[in-house]
Amino acid sequence: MGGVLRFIADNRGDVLQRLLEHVEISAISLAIALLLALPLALWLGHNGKGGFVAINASNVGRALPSLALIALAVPWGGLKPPTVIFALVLLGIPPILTNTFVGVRQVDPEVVEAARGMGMRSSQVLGKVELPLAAPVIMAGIRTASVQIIATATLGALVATGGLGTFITDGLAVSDTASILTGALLVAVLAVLADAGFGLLERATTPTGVKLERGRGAPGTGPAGGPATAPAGGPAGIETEKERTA
Amino acid sequence: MAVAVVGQGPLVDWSWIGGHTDDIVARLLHHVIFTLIAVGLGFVISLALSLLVVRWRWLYGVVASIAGILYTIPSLALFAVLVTITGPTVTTAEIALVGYTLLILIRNIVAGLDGVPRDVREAAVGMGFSPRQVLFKVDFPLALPVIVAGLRVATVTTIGLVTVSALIGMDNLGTFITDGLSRFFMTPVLLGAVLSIALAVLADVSLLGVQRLIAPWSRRPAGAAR
Amino acid sequence: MTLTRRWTTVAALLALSLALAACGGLSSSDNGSSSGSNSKNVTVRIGWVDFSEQAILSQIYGQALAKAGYKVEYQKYASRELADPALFSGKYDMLIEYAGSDLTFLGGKPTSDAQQVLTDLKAKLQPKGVTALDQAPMSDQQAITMTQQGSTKYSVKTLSELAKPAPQLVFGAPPECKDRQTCYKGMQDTYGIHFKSFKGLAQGSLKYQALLNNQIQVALSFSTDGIIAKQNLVTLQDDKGLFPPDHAVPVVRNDFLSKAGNDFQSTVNKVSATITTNDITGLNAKVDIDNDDPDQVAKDFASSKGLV
Repeated sequence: MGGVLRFIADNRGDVLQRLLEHVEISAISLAIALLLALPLALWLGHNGKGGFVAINASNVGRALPSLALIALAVPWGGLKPPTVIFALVLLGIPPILTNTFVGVRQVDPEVVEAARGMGMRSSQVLGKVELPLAAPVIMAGIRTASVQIIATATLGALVATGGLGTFITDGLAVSDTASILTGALLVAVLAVLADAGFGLLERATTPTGVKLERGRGAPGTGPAGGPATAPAGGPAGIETEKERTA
Repeated sequence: MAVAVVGQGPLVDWSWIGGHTDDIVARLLHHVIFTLIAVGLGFVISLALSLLVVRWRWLYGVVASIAGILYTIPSLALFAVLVTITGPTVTTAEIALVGYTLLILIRNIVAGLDGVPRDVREAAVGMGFSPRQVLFKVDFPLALPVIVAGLRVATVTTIGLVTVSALIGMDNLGTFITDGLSRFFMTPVLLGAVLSIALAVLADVSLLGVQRLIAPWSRRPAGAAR
Repeated sequence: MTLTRRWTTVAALLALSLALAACGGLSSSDNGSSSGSNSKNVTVRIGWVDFSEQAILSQIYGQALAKAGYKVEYQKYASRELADPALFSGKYDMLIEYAGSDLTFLGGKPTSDAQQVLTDLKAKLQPKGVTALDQAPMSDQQAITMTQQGSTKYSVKTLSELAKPAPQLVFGAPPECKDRQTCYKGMQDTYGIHFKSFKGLAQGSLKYQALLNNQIQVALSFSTDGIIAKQNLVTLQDDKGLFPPDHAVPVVRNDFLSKAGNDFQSTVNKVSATITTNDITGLNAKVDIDNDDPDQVAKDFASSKGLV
């Protein structure tokens, strides 16, 4: 531990720069993934279309080896951030797509009926009824995507796009334990913070009534959200299943 | 736009693939073995922990937290840290890979066991089953679909993570990707990518088949009516 | 499937996996094999650093030794910083090093006299229980390269001239270069070269790709990289003699030498004598540019020289 602190002290500038690079590339990728997947999935879920694709998106996403995606993007994108961003966006879309779709579909049909009965237009039903009720599941998807993106951004070091992964790869090359541990620690902390942060958002968007209902008889929630956020397995283990490909 | 000039060759050099079939077979086999060990060991450990958790509920928070944090750590980071402790060995890679399966498997096993209806259990007790018999003859069979679903996710996830272990010297399909990347030769990269995706899909579909076979009634996701 | 059968299957699969894993081969050390009649019962473990030239060299020596009846195993390492300590601690028996750079790594100060460098190297290796055999004619020195356009644009032909424009330029090199006295650190001390930034890129085509696409303006190369000639790159002159003469030299553990027998040393020296700078540059080009396999390239070369 002392070695790590000394390393950070000696390399303050680099540490800060790479931390910023990592956050920047992750944030941009998450934003793009949200932009592409969220509206589409909301629309699909609301209209009950494209279920097969949306539900299986996260299965497919889970099977994609992130290392390969980055490597394949290099001939076209060069050794620059857009290459990595491309791969990160591809990995971030599935959980957002699947969770948003399923979240909207899972809203109680009677509630939707009631809303329509009250005279709400389709878009109002989506915005005022479905979205708020689906929010926790959607948030869970965004949470998964963000952790996935932060984790995979580490591999950007292999194609010289900076980020915290460089401390790890450089350290591995010369057996510099302090460098390895610094990179690993910082990127782990970043991922855990994002997970916890979005976890809070997830809980914050859960309507109180739903929270109370879940509290009954379900095992407690840990930082990983536990099965209380929905039976983790389910018939396909899709809704809140986190993905890890990097 | 990047102009590829150095040592790239055609995108898919079929003769190269033809000339490396032994490597392909060997690395495919290694990849499968790595996965089987990780999921197998992970399952045994998760099962043990889950049984403890079901018995002593308060443990769940602790267990899930640790497994959760493990799961959140980016794999390259975990691999690299373990390398500084146990060296770039198979053991190191497997420790990390097993760690990544724990959260998914524990959550699913616990959820599966929890999902067994009270009345069925009560009926079994009423018929004179011992607690052990209830566990093995009632709980597990009924929890199987959810458990297999978890195994599915764990397996596919592990297959993807094994590729990353190539970065600490493990020989598997990911080695094609790292070799290709450093030589700027896309054929092995594509080969490694396609094969690992195919392997993941195969595993996923096979386990889905097992899941459906065991419990055909569990096909429709609860609540996805409309 | 009943529960008991399920458990049995899981257990069986686990047992099978562990058995297969025990057979080895799960990490990247391949095994060579020895050929026929004069089969000795000695295994040579050859270490090599992860770049093409080392892959080729270790194969040439390995195949010649296999022909002489030895069993050969290979172990891959990411850099000298990992390979040398492993050799010293007995993890393997022989490494093809580069005399000047290794001397610097071990704390010595190489001169431009290749013979002197070898003597000094032997002295440094002595206390580690390792010795150096004959040097090969080939020398693979570090080279700092730029594209033709880059060299013209900044009017740089020597390393001294590089100091001035350096703060505007990005330097690409393998990560271990950053702190090495024979590399970036040395460039800073001897020439006052401080780049705008340092990008760690593995040795090989990826780095050249970056250079050709102007993502880096200066690259660390090896003088024997075939790509230099192919892409008309400019090698900056080392006017202050920072980079030492780097003849390839097999370094071997003493305890291995004593049990390996006379054949070993004479075989290795015979191989060393055949490899010239031109030869290895051509072989590197075959692997890096034509995507041929190092073992095949090595085999063809060794056959042509009558080594196998």
